[in-house]
Amino acid sequence: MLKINRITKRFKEKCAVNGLSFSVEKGEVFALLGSNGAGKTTTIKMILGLLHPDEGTIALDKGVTTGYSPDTPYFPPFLTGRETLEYYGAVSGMKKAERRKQAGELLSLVGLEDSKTKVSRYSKGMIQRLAVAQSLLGDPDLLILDEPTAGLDAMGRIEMIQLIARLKKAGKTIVLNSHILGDIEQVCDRGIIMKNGTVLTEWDKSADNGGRTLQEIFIETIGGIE
Amino acid sequence: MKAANVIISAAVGISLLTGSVMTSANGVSKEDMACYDKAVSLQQDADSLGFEGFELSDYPVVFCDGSSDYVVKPDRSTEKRDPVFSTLAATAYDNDGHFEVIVPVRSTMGTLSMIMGGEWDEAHQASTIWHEAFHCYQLTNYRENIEGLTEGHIFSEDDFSEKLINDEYAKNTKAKELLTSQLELLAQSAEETDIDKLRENMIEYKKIDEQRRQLISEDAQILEDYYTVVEGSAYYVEMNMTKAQSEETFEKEYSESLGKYKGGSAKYYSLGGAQCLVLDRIDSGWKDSYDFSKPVIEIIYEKLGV
Amino acid sequence: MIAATAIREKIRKKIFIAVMVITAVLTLLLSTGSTTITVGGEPLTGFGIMMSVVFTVMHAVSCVMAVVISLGTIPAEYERRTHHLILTRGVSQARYHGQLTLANVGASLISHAVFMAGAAVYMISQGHASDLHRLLCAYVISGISIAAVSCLSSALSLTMGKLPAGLIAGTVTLAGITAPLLKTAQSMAGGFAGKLLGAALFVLPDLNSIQSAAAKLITGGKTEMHPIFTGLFYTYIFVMIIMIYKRKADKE
Repeated sequence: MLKINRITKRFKEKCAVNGLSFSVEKGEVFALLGSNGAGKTTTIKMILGLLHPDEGTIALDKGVTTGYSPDTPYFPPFLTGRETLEYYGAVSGMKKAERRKQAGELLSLVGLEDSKTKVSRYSKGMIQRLAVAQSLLGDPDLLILDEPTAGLDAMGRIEMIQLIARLKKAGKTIVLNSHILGDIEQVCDRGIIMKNGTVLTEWDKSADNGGRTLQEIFIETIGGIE
Repeated sequence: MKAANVIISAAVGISLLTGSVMTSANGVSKEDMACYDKAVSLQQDADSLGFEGFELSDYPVVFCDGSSDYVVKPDRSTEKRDPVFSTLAATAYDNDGHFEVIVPVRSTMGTLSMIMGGEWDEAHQASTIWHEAFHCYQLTNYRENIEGLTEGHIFSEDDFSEKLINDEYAKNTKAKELLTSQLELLAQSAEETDIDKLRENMIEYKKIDEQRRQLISEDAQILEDYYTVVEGSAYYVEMNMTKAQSEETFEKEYSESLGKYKGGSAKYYSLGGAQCLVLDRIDSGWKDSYDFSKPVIEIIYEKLGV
Repeated sequence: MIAATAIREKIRKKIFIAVMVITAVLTLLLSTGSTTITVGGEPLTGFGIMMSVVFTVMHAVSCVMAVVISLGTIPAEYERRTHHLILTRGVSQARYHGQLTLANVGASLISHAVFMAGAAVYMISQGHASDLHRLLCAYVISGISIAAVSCLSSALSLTMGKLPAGLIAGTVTLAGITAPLLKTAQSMAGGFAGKLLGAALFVLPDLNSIQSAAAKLITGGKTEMHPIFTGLFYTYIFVMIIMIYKRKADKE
C-alpha cells in the first residue's frame, strides 16, 4: 500500500532523513520507532505531503486515501466533539448528511458519544481519541497516527491502545509513531527502529526475535538509554 | 491557480486599477474646484470694493499639494504640472511676467488649521484666493511703487521672514504697548460713525505713532510700512470677501481680533487692514486712486487734516 | 466553513470582547453627550461636526483593531499545527490562507460594526434616525479601509514573523490614518525629506481618504470614488499576495 524508497530530507545543514526505505502492506499496523530527532515526524510529514523529500520517492497505491492524527491535536474549544467532526468533514468536502452520519458513528467508535460537551472540557485522552476520530472521516485506507499515546495517563493509554486494536480488527492500515514501546508491541505488526534518519533495525512481531522483547531490541539497537 | 481563476483575478485587478486611475486627481479635486467657483462668485463683491481693474479672472489659480500644482485657468480649464515651490505656500507667483495665485489645496489647509485648533472651510479658502489675487493685482499694476517702499534698504531673507519684526518688539515692551493702543484705536475707529470722534481718535493715533516710531529702528519702520501697504490692503480684501460670505465668520475671525496685538508680521496685516476700514468710513472712494506708494494712514491724515 | 469557524473563535476571545465593550462604552459616552469634544479649547457643537469627529475616531480605532485581530490568526494556526489537519485534506494553501483572511476581515468588520452601533445611537439621540441608512452606506465604504488593513496584516503575518509584521502593519495603518498630516508635513518639509514622504504617501494606502469619503455620506455630501477604488485595489493586492505566497508548511 505504501512504499518509501530511499528518501532524504535536509534542513539546511542537518539531514533529518537519510536514504530511508520501508513499505507497509494493506491491513498492517506499522511502527516508526526511535529517539527524539530520529526523523520519525519528518517521515510522517513527507508521507502526508506536508514536506517533500529532497531525494527518493514515496508511493501510495492508486486511490489510497490517508487520515492523520497529530501528536498534539488542537481543536476549536467552543465546538463539541460532534461539531468538530462535522467541521473537518465539511473541510474534506463531505456532504452534510454524510458527515452527520459519520460523526455519530466515529464518536461512538472512539467512546465520545456525549454530544453536548465542548472540547474545552475534554481531557487530553478524549482529545487524542477525537483526533483519531477525525482522521477516520471519509473512511481513509491508510491511517497515520503521530504519537497517539503521548501525554496520556494510564487509563488514557489503555483506551487508545484498545481503539487502535479495534481499528486493526476492522482492517485499517496504520502507520504510527510512538516512544512507548510496550504500546507498540501490543498493537503493531512490524516496524523500523530509526536513528539519524536511517533504519537501524527492522522489527517483525511474527518473526523469531530470539525471545527478546521490543524494548530489549530497541536498547540493543540504539545503544542504551540516550 | 486554475486558468479561469487567473483570468478572473487579473480582470478584477485591472478593473480596480483602471477605476482608481480614471477617478484619480488628474485635475483639480472637486473640493478645490468648489473653492475656486466660490471665489469667482465673489467678483461682484470685489468690484464693489472699488480697486480699479481688480478681476480674479486675470490670474490663474494654482492649488498645490506638495507633489503637483493644479492650475485652474480663467476659462476653468485645468492643468497639472510639477510644483513651482517644494514647500507649502500661499502666494502670488511671477510666472514669466504673468502672476498666478498659488494656494495649498484645501485638504492641506484643513489639516494645518486642525493642528492649530481651527477649521478651514470653503469660505476661508475662497477668501485666501482673493488675498493672493490682490497681491497679483498689486504686482501687475503697481510693482514699482511697492518696490519703492523699501528703496535704498536691503533686507535679508531673515528680515522678511519676520526675524527683525519679532526681535524689535520682543525687546521693546513700551513700543509693543503703544502699538497695541494704536490697534485698539483703529479697531474702534473702524466702527465709528461720528466723523469728529474719528478725527479725535486719529489725532491720538498719530501722537502715539510718532512716539512709537522713535522707539524702533529705521529698518523696522520701513518694513512696517511695506507690510502695512502690501499685506494690510490684501488683508482688507480678504476681510471683505469673508464678510460677503458670512458676517458671523467675519466678526469671529477678523473683527473681534482686529484691535489685538499679534506676533510676527500679522500685527501689520491688522494694522494695514484696519487703516483701510477706517478710511472707508471717511471716503469709500479712496481706492479709485490708491497706488500703493504710501501707507493708507497718510491718506487718512490728509483727508482729516490731522 | 474554515472562515466561519475562525470568526467564531476570534469573537469569543476574551481580549476581543473586553476591548469591544470598553470601546463601545466610550463611543456611547461620546455620542450621547456625556463627554464634550474640544478642539483648541473650543467645544465642538453641531451634529455634522460632532458626527465627523466621532466617525473619524471610530474609523481609526477600527483600523487599529483590525491589525490586532488579524495579525495572530495565521501564525496561530501554524503554531498550533491546525494546518496539518486542513492541508492533509486536500485544501490548498491559497484556499486555506484565503479563508483565514476572510475570517480576519469578517471579525474586523464585526468590530467596526460595534463602533458604528455607537454612532447610530448618537444619530438617533440627535433626532437623525431618518439618516441611519446613510450611516449604513458609510459603514460599507469605511469597511473597505478596515478590510484593507485586515488583509495587509494577514499578508504580513503570513510572510514574516509576528513582530516585524506587527510593526509594519501598525506603521502603515498609522500612516494611512494620518495621511493628511503627512501630506502637510511633506508640503512643509520640501527637499529630500519631502520627497521621501511623498514616495511613502504614494505607496501607502490613504485610509483617511476612504474614511473621509464615507463620512461625507453621513452628512449628505458628495463622496469621491477615487479613494474607494484605490482602497479596493490595495485590498486586492494584499489578497493576491496571500493567495500566491507559499508558506513552508513545516520547518522540522
